[in-house]
Amino acid sequence: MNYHPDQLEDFMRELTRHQTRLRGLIRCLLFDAADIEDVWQDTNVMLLRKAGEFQAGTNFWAWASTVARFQVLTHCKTKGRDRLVFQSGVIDLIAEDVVQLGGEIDLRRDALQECLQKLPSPQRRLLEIRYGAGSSLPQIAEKVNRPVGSIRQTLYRIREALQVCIERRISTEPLS
Amino acid sequence: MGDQSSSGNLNQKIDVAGEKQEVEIAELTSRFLDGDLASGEFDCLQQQLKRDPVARRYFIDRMLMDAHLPDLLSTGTIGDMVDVLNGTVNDDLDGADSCLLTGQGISGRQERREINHKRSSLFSLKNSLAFSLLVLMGCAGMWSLGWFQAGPALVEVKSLAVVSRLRDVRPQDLKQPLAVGQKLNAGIVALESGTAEILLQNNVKVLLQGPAELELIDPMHAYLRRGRALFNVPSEAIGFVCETSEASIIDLGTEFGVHAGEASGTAVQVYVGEVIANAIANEDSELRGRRVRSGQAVKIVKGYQAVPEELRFAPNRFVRFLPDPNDGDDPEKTETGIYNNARHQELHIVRAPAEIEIDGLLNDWDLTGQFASRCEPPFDSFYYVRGAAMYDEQYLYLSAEVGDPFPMRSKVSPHIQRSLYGHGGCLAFRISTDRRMGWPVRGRSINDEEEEGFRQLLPEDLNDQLAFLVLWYYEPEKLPCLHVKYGMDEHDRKVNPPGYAGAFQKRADGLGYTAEYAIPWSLLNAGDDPPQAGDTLGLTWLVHWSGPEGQNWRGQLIDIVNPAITGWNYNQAGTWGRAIYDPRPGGSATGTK
Repeated sequence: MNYHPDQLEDFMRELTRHQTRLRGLIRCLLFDAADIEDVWQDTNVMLLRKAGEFQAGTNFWAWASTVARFQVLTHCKTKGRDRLVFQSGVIDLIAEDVVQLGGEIDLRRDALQECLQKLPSPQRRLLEIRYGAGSSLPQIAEKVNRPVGSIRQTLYRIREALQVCIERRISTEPLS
Repeated sequence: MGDQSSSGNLNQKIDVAGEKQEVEIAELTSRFLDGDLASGEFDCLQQQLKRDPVARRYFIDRMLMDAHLPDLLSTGTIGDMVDVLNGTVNDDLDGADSCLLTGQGISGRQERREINHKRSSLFSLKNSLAFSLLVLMGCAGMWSLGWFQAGPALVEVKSLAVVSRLRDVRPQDLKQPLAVGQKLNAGIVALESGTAEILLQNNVKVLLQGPAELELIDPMHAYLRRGRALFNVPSEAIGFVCETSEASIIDLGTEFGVHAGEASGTAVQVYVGEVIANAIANEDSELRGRRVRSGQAVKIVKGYQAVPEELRFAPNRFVRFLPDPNDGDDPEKTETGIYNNARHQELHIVRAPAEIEIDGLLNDWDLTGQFASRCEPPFDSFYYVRGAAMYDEQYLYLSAEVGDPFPMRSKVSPHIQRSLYGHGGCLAFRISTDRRMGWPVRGRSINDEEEEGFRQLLPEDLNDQLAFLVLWYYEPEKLPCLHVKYGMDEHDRKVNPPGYAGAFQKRADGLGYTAEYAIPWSLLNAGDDPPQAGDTLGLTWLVHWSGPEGQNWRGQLIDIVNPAITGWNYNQAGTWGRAIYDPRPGGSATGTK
């Protein structure tokens, strides 16, 4: 690989800037958490390998998301008859919708960050345990001696409240 | 499924391709998120996503949120959750969390507050990228690109140190001239009164409290001859040594105080991080040294057999700045971010004189209604407020003399739409102008502090005459700013709307500012029926402080409260204190408890 230092620096800057979007895209396409991490890694490795193909000034997101989508498809093929894998047609439909969101993905993330600050402490803590510590619902349910369904319902309500909050903020943010 | 928006009532039943089968997209998405989906349910979800673009959008929005949450949340433990869900909470955990930046607070009791420990997404992202880089770029060629940066550069000053600020230093007490901005070489700094902040060339910060003598030796070495000094040592200066006649204190990356020159010896107290305190006269290498960690203090006396002995940690032993909320182990950092005990239940708002000029000078003010509030030690020296308010037929006038070691530095731009503007330092108010309601104020937010979740909003919660005001100075444009939002649901936000006037003046010693605002009653939806003499309405007063960069919130003060009602002021308007509109100029003295 022969890169001009400036070229590689530009590429790395774009790659870093788009990590949030790439991860979001892959999350939309895969069910299993371990698969998401694997594909995310594979995507970054592939993008780095192809760094020489990227031309500065072109649409990095369009290019990188295509690479990510192919990585997902490749990964799904290796899963074979795993029933919890989207069909390729569904993957294409979802991926297309996500790609079109573009910068809105970043805006939603920023809005989510603000909305999290408004979350009451017990609800935020539940999210931290679920997402920060990575505890499964059965683990949480067992520890707090509540049915899994109760935990799921609470998480659902919290997510919906956050979603409403995000939508409210997005609706007032100028999309640039 | 309604419109293209993914919000709204999403728990809808959907007909699938003409079949009668009812599927709830929300339930399926929720199970997908929680990794709990049977294969049949997965197929059902897949069919929905294939056929229905709105269902697809609903699904995508929630997946994106799910992908972002791990980076935005700190790690919690199930132990915390057990306490909360099992109802075994103590007072510190009771109630809702507070949003630091909207000036929420509690009247009369401490509540647990979570500081927003946002984990930078770059941390986890960099793990992925760094791994990938190492896989592909293991060759030495990449190192030659200079991809990996050198360590942080030192502050470029020609001298050893500079005096960065002074407070209450009387010139007649100085043995040598000392002024802000004065460069210092190796030598003795002595002051008999007040406080001097000295910044060394390696970013070590020393807060010297008079009477004191400190000898600056080199960037990594100082000798405290007598008095109290607080040292804040950045990571690049780990190993900094402060010596006294009895002790040698080696910093391991921390904030610590040293009190020397007393007959009782040297006291060392650690606020953040860790030091090694050595009794220098003791030749026994195993006995003379002791690690002192945050929240601990030791005393070292004179004598060959002296060893560091445990000392009671006393928060007010040294003057301090408000700690950075992101410093995890600072024992002085409060969990709520509130650094005062509210002492006032009412504010007397006096009739304004005929001519008021909004210039940041209060020489034309009637300050008989002024109140004073201060953060608790050890922060009381730098963080306080004297607040006052006046009124006439057109305006509400607000003034504050604020103690702030980093005044008027906010980098929070009013031109960027956001929900919060106060984290660079501000004044904030929750106020009612509803004369029919009077006091106590009725109104609650959507958050249900008793139960987990949300409550139904009532008409009184949406009252346009309940307002939240944030007043701040946008330093890059030298602009006094105003943010207003209405109701307990904080609707109809306005930033720098026409009609208000504001002014800021920095104190001559750089340790505070005065703010003065005139806010038209029309902006508070009371233009047709402004408060009149004799009215008692609601108000609560907040001051927010940030760090020196003007955008990282450090803490707050809340006063003018109603202690009979518990809760956060953003959740429960009943916690707001009384605003008494005095009938004539020269009204009552400052409200008391």
